Amino acid sequence: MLRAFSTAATGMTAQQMIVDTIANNLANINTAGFKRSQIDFQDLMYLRMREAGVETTAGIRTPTGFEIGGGVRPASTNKVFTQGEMDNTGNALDVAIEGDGFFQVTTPAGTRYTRDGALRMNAQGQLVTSSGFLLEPAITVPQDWRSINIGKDGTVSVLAGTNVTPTVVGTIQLVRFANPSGLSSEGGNLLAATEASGPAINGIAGQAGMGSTQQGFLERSNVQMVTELVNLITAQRAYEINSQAIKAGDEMLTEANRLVS
Amino acid sequence: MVAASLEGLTRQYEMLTHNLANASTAGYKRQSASFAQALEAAGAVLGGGSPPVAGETVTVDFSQGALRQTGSPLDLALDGKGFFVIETPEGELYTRNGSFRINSDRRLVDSDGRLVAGDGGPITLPEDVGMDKIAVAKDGSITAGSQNIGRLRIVDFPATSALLPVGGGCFRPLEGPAAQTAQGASVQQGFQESSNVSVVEEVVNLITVARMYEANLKSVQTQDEGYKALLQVAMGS
Repeated sequence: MLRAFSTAATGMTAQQMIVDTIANNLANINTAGFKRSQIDFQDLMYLRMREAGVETTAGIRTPTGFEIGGGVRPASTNKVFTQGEMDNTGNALDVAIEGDGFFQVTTPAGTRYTRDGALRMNAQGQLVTSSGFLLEPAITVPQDWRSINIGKDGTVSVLAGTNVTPTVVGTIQLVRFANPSGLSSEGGNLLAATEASGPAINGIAGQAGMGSTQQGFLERSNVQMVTELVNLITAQRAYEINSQAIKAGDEMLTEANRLVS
Repeated sequence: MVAASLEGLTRQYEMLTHNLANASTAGYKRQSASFAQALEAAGAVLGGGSPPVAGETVTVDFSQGALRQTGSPLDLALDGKGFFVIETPEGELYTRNGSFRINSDRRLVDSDGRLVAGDGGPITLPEDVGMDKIAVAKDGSITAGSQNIGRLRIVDFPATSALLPVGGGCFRPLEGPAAQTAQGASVQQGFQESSNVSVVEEVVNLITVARMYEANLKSVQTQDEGYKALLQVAMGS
């Protein structure tokens, strides 16, 4: 009976984790480049009280055993890297990636990766993310620029001064990973490479499976509000029912206690 | 006698909580100890004779769970009878949970990182193809762009009652007929198979178990009072 209490408790913890994950997804519904997380569960180890296939009488074997499971455990959270909606902002420095790939930025903690392409220009004319981190490799735009054009292959060309032909000032480098779901979230829309994700693979936008860069667009979060809310209600009810299971067990024990009183 | 039946009911209660705890576990199959047996046990208490212990065997209910769309290209669900094959150092395990990933070697793995078996060994996804170009057909063949990269091994057993749950969403077969290629299963990409635990059903069972437990305790009480009365008569007080 006491084992069942902890079993139901694992169920409640699991539902609580679902709610935590949903809350974070919903909170980021307007975060550019955000990818929703999904939590996966697995059933816990089984306590084998009687093996199946044991000979009970000569020649007769039990067709099934008797085993009781110990509840549920979270297996992993999985970032779902499906494409978010493309939002036309008209801002020349907003760049969205259509397809696979990440921007590569330099931060004090090392190289990080992001899908958030809301770029800005700093005082030196370098392209930076909205948090001020430099793109890697850095791209510097001349101070006297008049217009900027970013191609689908990431080439940044600028009309500067009195020039009538655009000059190429650099290329936005995209990277991809063998296993993007294995990247670790660092907050601030940044992701870091891990053993599980594998090292970053450099590539040119639009080539060999890499996504293409879209100027004037931002990629919205891929969180679907209705889906999240439905999951939220399910989790809430499942939590309730697991707590009911504990209550039922408690009542059974109370009854048993009444025998000795 | 009553004690045996109480123990059986306790086990049933434990099983119900395990099912409820896994109400959100993809690919989970509910387990039950037959209720007929439990009732028989309760009846045997009144009727005398040797009662069978309630819930002596566990059966896994392999009925189909609802398919829930996740949109993740590597979430695969089986519609119909069959299992995915997971390769472990201890041999093959079988699962209905098709929430797969790729590892840093670009091999298809389950959420614990164990290899998923294909018809010709593990499945490796090519490096230069985006995740959105990975397509899994109903028969389990996987294509990346225009390139065919293998087919998932999907098997079935003539007698699913010989499968034991081993945790982690997996089943291990007892000795018996070996796994055969599944005939009636189709793979649905971007879906997860929800747990087939019906919460309402489990709660109804939970109430029944709790009440039967109470009734069994009552019979202990009655017996106790009976003995007391008998003793009083015998001692002439």
